[in-house]
Amino acid sequence: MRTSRWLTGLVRRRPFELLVAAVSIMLTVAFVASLGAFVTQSHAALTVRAAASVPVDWQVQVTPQGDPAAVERQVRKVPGVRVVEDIAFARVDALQSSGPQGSRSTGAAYVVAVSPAYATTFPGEVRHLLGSTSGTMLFQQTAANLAAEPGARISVRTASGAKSLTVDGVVDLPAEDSLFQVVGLAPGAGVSAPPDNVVLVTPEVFRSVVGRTPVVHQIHVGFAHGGLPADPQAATVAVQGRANHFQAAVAGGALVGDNLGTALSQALEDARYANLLFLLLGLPGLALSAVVAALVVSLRSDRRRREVALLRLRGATLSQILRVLAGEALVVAFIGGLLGVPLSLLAIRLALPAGTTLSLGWMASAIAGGVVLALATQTGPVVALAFGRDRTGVAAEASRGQRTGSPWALRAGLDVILLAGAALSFALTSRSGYQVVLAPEGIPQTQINYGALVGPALAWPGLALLVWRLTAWTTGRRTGRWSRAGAGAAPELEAAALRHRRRVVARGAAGLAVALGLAVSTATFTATYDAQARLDVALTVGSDVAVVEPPGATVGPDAAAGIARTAGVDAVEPLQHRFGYVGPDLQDLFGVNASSFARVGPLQDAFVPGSTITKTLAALQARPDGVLLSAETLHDYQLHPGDLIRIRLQSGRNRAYRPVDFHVVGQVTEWPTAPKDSFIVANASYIAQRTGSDAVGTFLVSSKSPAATAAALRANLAGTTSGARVQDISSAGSHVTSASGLAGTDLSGLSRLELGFGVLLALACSGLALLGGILERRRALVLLAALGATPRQRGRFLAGEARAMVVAGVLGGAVTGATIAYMLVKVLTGIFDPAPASATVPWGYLALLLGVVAFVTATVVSGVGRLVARAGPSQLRDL
Amino acid sequence: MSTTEAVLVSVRALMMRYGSTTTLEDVDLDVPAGADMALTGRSGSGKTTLLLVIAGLLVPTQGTVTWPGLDGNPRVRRGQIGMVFQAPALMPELTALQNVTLPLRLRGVDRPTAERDALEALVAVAAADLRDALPTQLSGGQQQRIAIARVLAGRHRLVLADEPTGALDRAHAFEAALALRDGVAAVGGALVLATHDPELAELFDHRVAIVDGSVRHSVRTS
Ligand SMILES: Nc1ncnc2c1ncn2[C@@H]1O[C@H](COP(=O)(O)OP(=O)(O)O)[C@@H](O)[C@H]1O
Ligand SMILES: [Mg+2]
Repeated sequence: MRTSRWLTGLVRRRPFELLVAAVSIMLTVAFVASLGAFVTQSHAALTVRAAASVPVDWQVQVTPQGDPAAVERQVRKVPGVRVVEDIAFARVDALQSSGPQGSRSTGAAYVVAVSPAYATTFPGEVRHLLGSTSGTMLFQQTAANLAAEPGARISVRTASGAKSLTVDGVVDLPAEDSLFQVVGLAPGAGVSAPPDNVVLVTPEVFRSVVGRTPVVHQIHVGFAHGGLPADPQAATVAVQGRANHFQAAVAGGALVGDNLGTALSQALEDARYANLLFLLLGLPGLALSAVVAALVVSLRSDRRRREVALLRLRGATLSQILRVLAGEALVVAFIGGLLGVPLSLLAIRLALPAGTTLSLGWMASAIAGGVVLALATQTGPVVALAFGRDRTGVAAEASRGQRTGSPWALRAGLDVILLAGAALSFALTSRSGYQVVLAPEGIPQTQINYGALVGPALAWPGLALLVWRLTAWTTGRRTGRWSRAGAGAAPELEAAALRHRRRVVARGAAGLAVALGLAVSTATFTATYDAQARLDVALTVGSDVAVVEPPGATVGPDAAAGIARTAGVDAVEPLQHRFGYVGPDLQDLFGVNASSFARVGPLQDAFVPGSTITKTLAALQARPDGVLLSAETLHDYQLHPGDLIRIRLQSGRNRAYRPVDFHVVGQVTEWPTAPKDSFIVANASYIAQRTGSDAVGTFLVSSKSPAATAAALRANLAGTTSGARVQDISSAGSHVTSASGLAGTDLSGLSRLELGFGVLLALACSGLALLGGILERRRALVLLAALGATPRQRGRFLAGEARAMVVAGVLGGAVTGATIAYMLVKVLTGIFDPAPASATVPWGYLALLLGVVAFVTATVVSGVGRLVARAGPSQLRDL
Repeated sequence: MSTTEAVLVSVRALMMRYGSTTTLEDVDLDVPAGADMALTGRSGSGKTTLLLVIAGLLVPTQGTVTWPGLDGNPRVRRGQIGMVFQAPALMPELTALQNVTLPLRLRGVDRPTAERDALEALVAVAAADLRDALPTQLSGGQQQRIAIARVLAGRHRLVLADEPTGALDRAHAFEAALALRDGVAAVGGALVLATHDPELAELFDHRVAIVDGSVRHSVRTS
């Protein structure tokens, strides 16, 4: 058969060319497969992290018409159930204590019945602080309100009287919000403030204490998370399906507070960000690997066009030619896939977290991508010719030489059109404030505005074509007139040769610019992301180390002196944390010492738009009743600097909300420990004076060795009743849940993949483009040798071309990379939280990249050039 | 062969073997200065092989090659020998004039001199009007004339031409061969031209035929 004969002939005649083509397909296959593994892995990590963050997966609340025992039997039948705990709530009138300072009473309080095992079964719900770990345990804030310690006696007052209890321990309820959620409401709807006063008791005590008070029964369920689907989407659907099925099975007897489902659907939003990153960072890489594959094919496209033309002349039918070409593409794709899959496994091992696997689906997609790419690049350039029925055209093609004209895309001005489109799209995106991820009001889920991707998507090919155009233009104007070469050099002839090869030079430069642009933009983006992620952690912790007082604690700023004496502490700043009403909005209020706060806080000028941190803090200090407000507050209440604003704060002994007058000093977007939405910054001394309390929320500590200092502070606190927690920046990165949208997506794996493949692709691009140039000039080089040119003289002819290509490619790559990085950082502003003041440029990596390209260029030019130009007798025979 | 004539190249007891097949055997040949010589033989008889040996590009399996009339330094000697190939081997990126200029410039001749000599050579092969054309714009015969002009412009002591007319039709082949012969003679060089066309060989004073592969057969006419 003709095709198989052609193919075996091909493998025998040109194994090197086939191998190079297969290597380019290998790169693509490996890149797709490892990107796929990244997507799978990051999605799975989001699922695992979301599931792990849930203290109780389901809070199954028995409805008034339901039977707790029947519901519990049904719960145990739900697949995947690992642990089940009964819990009961009763809302009582008050808790009271009488101690040496007199008797105290709270408002309405919750008595919660939990089994002794509850705290160990659901450690995320109950954190033991003081005293015994079982029995009657007071919530820390309640203990503060009642001034009760373990051993104290308190009484629970209900409609049917009062019961006295002995306090066994004090606990914190870290997930109080979800513990006291209203089961049955949509997530996020009807959020109510969690109660201040809670006492946990054993079921026996509960029955005796609550009397006839209505009781709410809940069954708390923990699932085996190992059985969850890895993809957050699938996991969400599975868990919600489970909940629906269960609620149907109990026929109205219970409602499910599906904390797990809620957390997973939030992970789904993070997964959208991961997909967005995949699109923005991954697709250009894929396009680039396609460019590399096309470059490889173009190495012999002229020869191949002649081959096809000859086949046509010899009378081969169209289908025979296509079969031959497709067969060749499949051989290339097969070898490429065979090499690509192991390479991807290696890349996954090296770049992605341990345990990342390559799914069969992604492997198949990658190989399919390789086949498509091979078919497209191997057959594309000749299909037009193969279809050509015009024999004279075919004959002309068979004998035709180097093509020098501009490609149609440049003649049509496509680069200008694409760049204009990119600029327009980018301008529109920036007009809308770079809202790539939309959270429309009233819709609980975010959506991605894929239109924002149009800018970068158009900019990539536009810039590549522009590099092509400019390189061709400048190369076409070379005369060699300014060369200072001595005798034996022929600069005007070198320049003439270069002018003639401007298409090849420009094509290589464009490919190299894209490769370098990808590496530069990715590296810049990920470096910026890393810097912002570190800042995010610093802002979440508040400083290098933070001593966080529990809610309701009354520790004053004097305690700073004690902390300052601890080893490793450089500076301490108390940060007040209160809540205040601005109109009907409850916002976090932070009281600071404006003169000294900058010693500890990770503050950036970007946090105070239109001003600097130093100026803003000075302005705040100059105005004792000054406040910094968020942009939303300033806008919503039409406030300007100097305006009076009345904020209601808890003050006095009964801690009722009373209005306090402030004056607006400026705007603030970020503050250490502050939430991402609206908050207020004011002077601590003024707040203490007006509210009668100087209680500190957090002591921010600057330290050169955060972990050791935090350990020393923890040791100091151990055994005290304060309940304060110590966090530090170095160990926080892994477990502090920051508020940023990307918190769940570990970008380092993606960036390692991109940087690694970026180098490989840049290498391949520069190497292949140069190699292609040299191979095309093989005959010219042999001829030069035959005409008596020294290796040095031949080198000059080659090096001129290489230099033009690499210089244009590097310059173009720098411009492309900078432009794309700028667009990425801007378009993905929403991913960054806080938004970066400027991009972080990874100079080290860029220098390495440049070095690698320079090295490859030098190697290819000198090595291959010498090899090819060796004018052996057999080459001379071919002349 | 007259003893008064200086000998440029002297081949003695040459044997060339590719693998196990012997291409040339027991070949003796002298190329006198200023002579024109046709080297005939069927395709595959070893003409190219012999030319490459004469040029010093192939090392004989056995026997000796010496260049008594040329420079002792191989590098300088390579410059004294010009070559014309079967295909008109022109640099595709350069115009006709630039192609002819190229070897001169590579040898260090300054640009105005090189261009003047090149133009002269183009005139000699009646191709002055093609000076600004690129090789792809020229016919095979025109290209070969440029290649001949290039070797003429080099003013080599010895020109080796390997079937320079093989790709041309009869009329053009004779025209090109004569242009080469007369051009080389005009600058006082010697020419060895390989051809499989015995009639073309009739144009040359010296004729050497390679017959039966290994057998040397040399003929000289008056
Ligand atoms: N590099 C080589 N390896 C093996 N055989 C060769 C090589 N070069 C030439 N030959 C053989 O030597 C013989 C003479 O070749 P050549 O000198 O090219 O003859 P001509 O130029 O007269 O056609 C031919 O049979 C050819 O096959
Ligand atoms: Mg030959």
